[in-house]
Amino acid sequence: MPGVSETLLHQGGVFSMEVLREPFLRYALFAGLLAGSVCAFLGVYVILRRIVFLGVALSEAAALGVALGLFVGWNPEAAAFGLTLLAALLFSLSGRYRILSQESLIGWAYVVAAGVAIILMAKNPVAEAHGLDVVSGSLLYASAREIWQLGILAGVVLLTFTLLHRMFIFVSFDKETARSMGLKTSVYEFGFYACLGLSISLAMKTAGILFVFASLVIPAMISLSLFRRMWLILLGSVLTVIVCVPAGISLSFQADLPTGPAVVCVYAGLFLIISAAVALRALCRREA
Amino acid sequence: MNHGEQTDGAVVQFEGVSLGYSRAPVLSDLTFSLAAGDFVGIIGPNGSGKTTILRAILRVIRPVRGSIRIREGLKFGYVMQRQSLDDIFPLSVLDIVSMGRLGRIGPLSRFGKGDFDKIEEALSITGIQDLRRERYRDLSGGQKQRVLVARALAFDPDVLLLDEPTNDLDIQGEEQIMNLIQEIHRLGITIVLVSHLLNVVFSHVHRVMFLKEKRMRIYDRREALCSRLLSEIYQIPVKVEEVDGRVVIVPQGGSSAGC
Repeated sequence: MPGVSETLLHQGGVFSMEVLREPFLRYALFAGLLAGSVCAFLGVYVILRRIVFLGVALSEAAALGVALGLFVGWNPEAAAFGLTLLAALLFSLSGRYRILSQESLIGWAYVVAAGVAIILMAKNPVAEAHGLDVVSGSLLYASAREIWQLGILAGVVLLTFTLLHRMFIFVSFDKETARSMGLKTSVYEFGFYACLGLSISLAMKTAGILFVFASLVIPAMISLSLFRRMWLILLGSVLTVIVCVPAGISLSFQADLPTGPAVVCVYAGLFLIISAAVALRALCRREA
Repeated sequence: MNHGEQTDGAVVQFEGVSLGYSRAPVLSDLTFSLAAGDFVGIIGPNGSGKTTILRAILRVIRPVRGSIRIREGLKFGYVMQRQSLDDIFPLSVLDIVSMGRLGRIGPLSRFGKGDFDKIEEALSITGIQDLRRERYRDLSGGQKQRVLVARALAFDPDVLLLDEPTNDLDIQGEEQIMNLIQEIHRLGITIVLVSHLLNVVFSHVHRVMFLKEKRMRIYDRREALCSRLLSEIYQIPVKVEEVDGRVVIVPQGGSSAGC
């Protein structure tokens, strides 16, 4: 088996068209692009609202849903969705709780979800096998049904945020003033968290926690480093996924690496390159 | 002293109101009214409940006891402390001022000509037309404050509530913001201004509300400009002077002077 650098050298690039010739890789590619794009789009809001840790907590709630579903014999998808939505609802209300910070409650939810999920998986051989997929991802086993689900999800999220973009931004930026002007801030808050929860639970089942969390955070970081306008930042975040996911899947296929972590490495590599370029540009401007 | 007069022209009326969070009252037995065209300053030490009164007027918090009556259809423009806003958002001045119209249209509606006119008018009153394309995060403290005032004005309010609008501003910025607020008051908008800066408040407002130890006392400006009264409230000897028509309140050594 060739090494990673050797593979890249032989291909003369990161992405290989060979990926598209393999039906299962085509599915993985579409699933990765859809799951990654939805997460990257919402990730811009996650970063701006400084709730990155919430993303990983909701991912863990979805993982707990899968583990719980497999353990008690429920539909794992429905259990993941239900639990993530419940967590989203609780988080949207937790801002009103003044004794403990929202951050500490999110931390509590994260460790509890992770701990219980591990226990449930350890006690169920089927869940244990699925559990590994939940963490590192199973993009290569994506089905046509999952791609349809993700496509519908992407459409719903895009439509919701296109129609209500200004309201979501206002409520995210200055909830108190929005409320004073009569906006139903709790409805928008729950709408945002519900979209996030639904997206994470669906994407996590197809692509794994690592892929989902990385897609929530890194493309938005790259785009925020590059662009100044909100619509450009959202577009740039999705474009980052369109560049990195095919490259990561190709790398994973060529070098026999797990898919989710391979995509994460490509995201991380691009972020380092972009950060270095941005820092260099700032340095040149300062000296000029 | 004016202990909660019943005014026919009142736009906001507090009657025996207690305010607080998690059942612990921050302020008790508030009775006062705001009339149309009023210019009221709320002063008091940190944590005395100044912002809490604004939040109650805005109906963001409900009174623990008592009742708050607000004239039907009354619109409030709120200028919150700008330090509470997160600069990370990549928003332009126009983006933020436009938010002022979102409370006037439905969630799925688009801005009409009337909305754009109000936004332009707000930019013009606050003198920030040339900054419309600038990013909020790149502005100075005074410019940011003008943007937030413009957003509140774009809402076309009857009452403007300002929370510490001169915080962290230099003397020039402070003067410009207070002149702007005076100008807005002259347009017929009722003003409620929260500040901990006595000189700022006394130089501009018509009535002063003091908050201390969960209680409130409200005075006409002239009545409140009494060194004995201020010394009693702040529990240190205070001297009141007027320099070029402006009020200067300073601590003084020795015993407090008369009014």
